[in-house]
Amino acid sequence: MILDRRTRLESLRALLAGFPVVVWLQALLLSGLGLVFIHSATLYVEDGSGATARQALALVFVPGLAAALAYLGRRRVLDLAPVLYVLVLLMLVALLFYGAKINGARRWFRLGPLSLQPSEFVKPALILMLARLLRFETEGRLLRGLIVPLGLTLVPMLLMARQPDLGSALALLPVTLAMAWVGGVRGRNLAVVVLGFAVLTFVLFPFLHGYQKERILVWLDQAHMTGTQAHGAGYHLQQSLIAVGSGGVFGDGLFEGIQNRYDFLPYRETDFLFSVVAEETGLLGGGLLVLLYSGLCIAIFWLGAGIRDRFGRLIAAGVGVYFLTHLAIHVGVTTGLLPTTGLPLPRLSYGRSSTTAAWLALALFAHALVHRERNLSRDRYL
Amino acid sequence: MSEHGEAVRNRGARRFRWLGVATLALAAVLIGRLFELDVLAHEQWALQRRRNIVGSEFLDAARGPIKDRLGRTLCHDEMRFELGLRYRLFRRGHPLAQLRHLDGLCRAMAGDPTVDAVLRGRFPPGLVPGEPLKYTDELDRLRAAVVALCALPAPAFAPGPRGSRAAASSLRFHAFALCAQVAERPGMDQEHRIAAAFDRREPPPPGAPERSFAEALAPIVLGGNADAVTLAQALVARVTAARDDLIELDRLLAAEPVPPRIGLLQSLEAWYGRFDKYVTKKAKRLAKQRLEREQRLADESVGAWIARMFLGEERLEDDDFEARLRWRYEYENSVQSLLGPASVSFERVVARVEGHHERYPGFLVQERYGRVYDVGTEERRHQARNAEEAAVLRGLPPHILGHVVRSTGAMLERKPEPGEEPEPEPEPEPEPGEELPALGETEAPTVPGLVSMELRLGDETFRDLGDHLRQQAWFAGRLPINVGASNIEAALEKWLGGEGGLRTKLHDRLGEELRMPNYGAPRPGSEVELTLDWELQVELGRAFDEALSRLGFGLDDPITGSSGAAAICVIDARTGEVLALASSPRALPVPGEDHWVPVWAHYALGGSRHTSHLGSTVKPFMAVEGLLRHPSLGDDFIDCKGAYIGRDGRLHGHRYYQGQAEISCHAHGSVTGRDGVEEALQESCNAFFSQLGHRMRSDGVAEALRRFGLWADLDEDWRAPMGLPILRPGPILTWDPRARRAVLGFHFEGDRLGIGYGVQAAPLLVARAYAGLATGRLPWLRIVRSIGGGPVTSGSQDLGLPAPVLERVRAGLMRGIVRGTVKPPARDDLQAVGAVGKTGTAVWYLADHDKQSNRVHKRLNTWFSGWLPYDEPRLAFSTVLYGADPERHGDAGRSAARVAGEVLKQLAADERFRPYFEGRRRPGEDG
Repeated sequence: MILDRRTRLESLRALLAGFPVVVWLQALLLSGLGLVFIHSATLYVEDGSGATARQALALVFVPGLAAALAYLGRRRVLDLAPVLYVLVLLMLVALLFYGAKINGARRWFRLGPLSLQPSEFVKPALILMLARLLRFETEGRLLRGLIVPLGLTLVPMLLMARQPDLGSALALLPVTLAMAWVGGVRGRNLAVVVLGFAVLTFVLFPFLHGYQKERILVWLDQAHMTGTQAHGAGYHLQQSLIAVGSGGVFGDGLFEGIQNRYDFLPYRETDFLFSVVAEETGLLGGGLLVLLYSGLCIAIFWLGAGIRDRFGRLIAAGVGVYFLTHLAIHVGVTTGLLPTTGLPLPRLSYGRSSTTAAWLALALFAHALVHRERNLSRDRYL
Repeated sequence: MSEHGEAVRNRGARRFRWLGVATLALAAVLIGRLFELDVLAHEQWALQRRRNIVGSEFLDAARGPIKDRLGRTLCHDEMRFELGLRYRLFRRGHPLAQLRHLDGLCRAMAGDPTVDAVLRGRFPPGLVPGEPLKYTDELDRLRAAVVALCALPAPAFAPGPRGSRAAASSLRFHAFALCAQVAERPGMDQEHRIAAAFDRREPPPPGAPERSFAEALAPIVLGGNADAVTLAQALVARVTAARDDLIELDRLLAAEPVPPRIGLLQSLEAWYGRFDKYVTKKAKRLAKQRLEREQRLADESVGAWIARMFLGEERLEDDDFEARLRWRYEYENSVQSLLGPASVSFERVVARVEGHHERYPGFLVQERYGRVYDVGTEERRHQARNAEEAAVLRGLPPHILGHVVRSTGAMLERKPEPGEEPEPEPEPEPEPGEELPALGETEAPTVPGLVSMELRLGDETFRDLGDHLRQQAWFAGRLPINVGASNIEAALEKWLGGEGGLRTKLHDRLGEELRMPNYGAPRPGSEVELTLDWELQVELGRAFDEALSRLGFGLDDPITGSSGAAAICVIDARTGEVLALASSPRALPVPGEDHWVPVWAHYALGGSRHTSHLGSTVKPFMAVEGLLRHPSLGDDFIDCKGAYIGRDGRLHGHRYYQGQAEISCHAHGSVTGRDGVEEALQESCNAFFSQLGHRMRSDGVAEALRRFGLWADLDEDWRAPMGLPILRPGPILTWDPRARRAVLGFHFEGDRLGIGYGVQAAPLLVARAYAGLATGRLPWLRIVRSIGGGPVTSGSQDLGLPAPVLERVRAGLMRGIVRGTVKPPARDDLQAVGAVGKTGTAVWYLADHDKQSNRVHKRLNTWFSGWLPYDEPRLAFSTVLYGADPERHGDAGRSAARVAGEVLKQLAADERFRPYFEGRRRPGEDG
């Protein structure tokens, strides 16, 4: 009996060996905080009370499912990569024809009571696909190490920009670049690409939608925002800045944010959730959240650095930068550091697609750790 | 592992380290930004947030009512409201507006060449053929429009090619909004489904008819197996109900005592027409500007080309489109006044609109108090209807009353001389059956602070008021009732105005009130009771007008081309309370009519407070002073031979020189001897009084007039030297020769002053002076009896005149009535009512020389002032006709005295006013 118990314990230990428990707990903590602030953001919305429950329900199943997925075999995961990538591309294409148009954008499939946002699933799928592609690219070649991954990224990016969902589309680029870099691409090649994208942005500016251009122009001159702009293209930015800035050091208190309660903050449970956090908990709460989230990313990078196999390491870099990019864009937008664009903060913002995609990405990371090549000596020498 | 593999692994680990550093850097940047916003700029954002959510609303305080001396309310405040419309909300929320806009969009798309030709062919020219849909259309037409909408093909609502996208988007928006109003359970999910149905563009199966809008939407909107007919019926019912709501509101408005000028639907239609013009005009101007800028850019250098390449054209298009949107937004979002301000009473309409925003989207109710005039309303209506007649209307609407008695505020605001206090008056001896008010009654507490109020009236105020009211009349298109900014309302603003309240509220993004943290209730104004007797006021005005009409006075002067002006005032001889004032002409200014300005500018509107030459009106006061100074008055006077008819057939006065002045006397009999003062008053003998003036010299004359309040020194406060509302300082004389020269341009001495040359005063002053003659006491003039229940300070000054002196003067005045200067028919009328008084005729010459007759035309200011009854004075009065023609109207005995006699007789015949003529108190008139 004792032997059986020991055996079971050892089996469990063996099962959990390499599983990123700390990261998982960090992610759960962030998800819990997200639930609290989603509740706050929807507390005073007439038909928004169900959002917290729906998000909580998703959190009951998704982390467990993600943990289970982490134990899929490496071969199976590698085989799934192109399938998933093509699948999400097909979904993005189908979205153009069959997607529900909400607020002028086709980003969702209506599946009965559920809605599915394929662009969120592009991110883990792309990470997986790129990791599979780059796992043998040790030489850092320009074509296979950078151009091809960029090509694989641009396809979903263009489809997402067509929705339009420019924020999510742009968030893919840092992931690809980071994975290419960790994969061994030379720094100057990356710099050229980054510079090229900067020029391209300038050239493509006139082809942006009118509201997108207006938002960028308002953001550039946000200190001199006119009354009309404050009620038009600059409304989101202005209200978000008010919410963040009026929070002060300690905030208004949980569920007491004026901008939140009185409906001045738009999309506050999704794209502007951090504004709610900053308004209600102030500099302390907002700063702590940034540190927690950064801590999650650093933990991923830390553990990723210890992975010996390239596939796992690339996964870790992709997942870490995926979260980091979302943190930068989401908080940057809400604090006026970046032009307004709609991008949820994975795990914190409301959105089952976003949450599921984030947990799937974390599942990939866990998979990379669980199936990593074992060290043969304690000094990690091989 | 090979060395190469190890190197690659180490490089990967190093790069992870850089990722970690980047993460820390990002965290530092984000926290730094948070620090900047939350700490450094916190105050600024907190203020912005406060501005976001906190709104304040001033609460109007009801002005105090104004009553007359009998307690009759002349005006009071009632809660009124303005009905406004925020068209943007209306357009987006009201079925009628949605239908109308759908009609307009269909017309636009039918004629839009960028729309697919097949699709364009499916659009009828509007939802219903013929004229564009209007708010004022009959119900049948609206129903037809709904049916036509339902028959539109579903693809019509799908986004079309570029150029028609905006129209298609608006089309879908309005169609969606209309459907959402009949949806069983409007919510997010259903909205999505409706939107998806609009966006679906699958072609119909070959041979199958294309689905209509209603067929596509019915199951989604109404659920179940609802068909197109059911949806059409539901939409028709909704549109009908919405229209019925508007009509019901219109009916309520029409039922108000002061009906709106046009109905609601007509108002909407008219507003939309204006809006359409505005937008079209702006669009044309923008298009022109854009073309000019494009041309300018095209003509410029490479830099311009680059700018065009990257930003130029797009920005220009954006500027154009967005500027139009912005203007449209601003115009649509501003509150449009559907009905005139304060035109409708509060309860019924507000109850219908407030809290029913789903039935009246965009309608706003603004509460405010409106001044309601309880008297004179009919007259004002008549004036509004008939502009021509309005110029010469009779009667005295309260706001004109305000003009006339504007300066009564100044009476109140009199600053007492140092050490001066209201004189404690002994109780008058009670007389059986009579309830005369006590002179100088001061037992009741007076209104604190009343005598310390700053004066703020004067000529400039008067002119400003005229300009202001003129503007109001022009722009508002209605009779100006500038409550609280002028007239007696302004003079008593401190008490009438009350104190407004303040209500602070928190509201959400859409302006819906969430909480009311602060509420400061308004404090209503105090009640003001005037000394006026409104019934007497109305009858006096009417009688005065009739008397002037019988005299032929007031018609256009053939020489000057202007109308004659006249004024009459009646005061309580014992208390100085003004009972009634009337002027002619005194019509309201009529908006849009040219005669408004000259009528307004006419000094007669100043009526009883306008100063003018007194002529012989001063003689009784000279007589009093003469008798006081010279008991043997007249012993050494040159006899007057009186007037005579000369060889030329004209009446000539007895002329002689007194000092440097040539005196002319038109007395009808000779005036001689030491007992001649009565006879001199009877005949108004210039010879007698000029000799008297000569002996008294100018300072003696000044003393005589000052005693009765008819003289003011220039270095005194001219505005209220004796608490009197004198408008202009210029004509007021002084004993100082230099000042006299400065004012009049030539030198006067006592001989001319003694017969009234150059002495000017207002009728109110003259009436008060005659009250002094009648009672031996000079009362303080006042027109406000009490404020907030507390009586206003009153008082009178004992003139200290020996009874024999007064008796002789009064006897002389009575002789003037019976057989002196007062001529029939005034003689009989005045005797019938027991009035006694004095005529006064002041001559002034017209500037234009009559070449035909080779003479200069002259005009007269004719006066008749006095009191009644003779023995027990109750009323003192003064009448003046400015600019009477001596040939048509005659002198004072034939004109002013006649008018006064007829007016007084007419009043005396009215039972309501009998107590005044019998020296009693009117029923209801308290102390």
